[in-house]
Amino acid sequence: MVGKQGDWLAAKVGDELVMMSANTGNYVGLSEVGARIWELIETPQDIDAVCAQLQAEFEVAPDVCRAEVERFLKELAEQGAVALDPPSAIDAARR
Amino acid sequence: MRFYRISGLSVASEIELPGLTAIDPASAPEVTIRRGPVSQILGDAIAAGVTWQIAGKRLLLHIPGVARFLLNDGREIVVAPESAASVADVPVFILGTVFGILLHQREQVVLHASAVVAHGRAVLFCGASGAGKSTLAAALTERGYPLMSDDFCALTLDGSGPPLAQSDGRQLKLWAQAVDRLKLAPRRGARVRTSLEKFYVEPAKVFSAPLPLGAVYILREARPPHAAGIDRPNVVDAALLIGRNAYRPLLVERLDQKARYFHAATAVANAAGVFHLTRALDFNSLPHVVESLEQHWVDLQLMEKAA
Repeated sequence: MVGKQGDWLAAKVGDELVMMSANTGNYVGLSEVGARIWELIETPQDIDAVCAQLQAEFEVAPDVCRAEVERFLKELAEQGAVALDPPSAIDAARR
Repeated sequence: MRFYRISGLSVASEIELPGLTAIDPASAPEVTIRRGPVSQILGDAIAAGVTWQIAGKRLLLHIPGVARFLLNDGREIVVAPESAASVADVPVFILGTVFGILLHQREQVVLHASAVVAHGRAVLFCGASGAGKSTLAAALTERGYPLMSDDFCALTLDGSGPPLAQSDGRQLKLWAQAVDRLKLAPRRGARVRTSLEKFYVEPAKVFSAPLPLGAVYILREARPPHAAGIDRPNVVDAALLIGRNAYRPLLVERLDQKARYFHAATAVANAAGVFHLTRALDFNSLPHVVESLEQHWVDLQLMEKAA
């Protein structure tokens, strides 16, 4: 499962999403697809469900989609913007 | 009473404010500035620093050796100068820190920027003191682009339309060298502060109504690794740069303003292009900088947008 974490402010700028952590003042920018993923995990989701939804909306091969989503969530986890449950959810899925 | 327009607000002041152009008397001014006693402490202060105290919608500010200021709810400024000698230095503080805090009380966002009008839009130049905002604004005003504000630009964000830049009745503040190099001596006015070689200069042309933002330039000196030119930072950097150029006296910085400034920064980045304007910080390069800006406005199609 993956869900949002921390107190983030978000605003669209063009197609992109700019976010700021209210706690740390850190800024993060998300691409159009990243912004869509951020919407999809408004409530905690299964990573498989997120990938399925993206494949329905964007033209992308399943394995490419999965790898990109995992990379993206990992980056957001490093920023403290998402929580993975269990913390090893991504690595476990890969194995 | 004297009447002025400061950051889009009508102001009635008992104190003469050099560097502002007087306007017709307003029947219901939005802000009143008067002299009067200001107490040493606010009895019911909820927060305090060495030079300031806050109680509800009132804020007491002490500038040692100059004056004590009481700001009431963004509507009134009471000034108690420390001595007869300090009276002359009061206006520059009213127009800087004090008005910055007052705009904060009114929940407005203010950028450290000078603004001119180009093709019906407000074009802003942001930068710290010494970055060359006023000199560039002066050069553009001489070239026929009316001045909207100098040093200090209040933005109105009502959420529905694009952010509006507020005009300001402020004159340019220029160092003696800039006055000389731009040949502005005939319009040179009083010194900004008794001890500074900086002067008020009457702009050639002013514009005194709010306008939507056209472009925002962050001024940067050309030196490695930054070559001269105009470039567009990514959206995150653009939002960060706007936030960094917010005019926030230290005091305002301490109050929790992150959310308001985040939304303002993203609204500005959304509505107007945010650019780095990198150039050599010398007077000889000014004509070339003005030319490249004019070309940039054509490229941006500011003209079509304004139409």
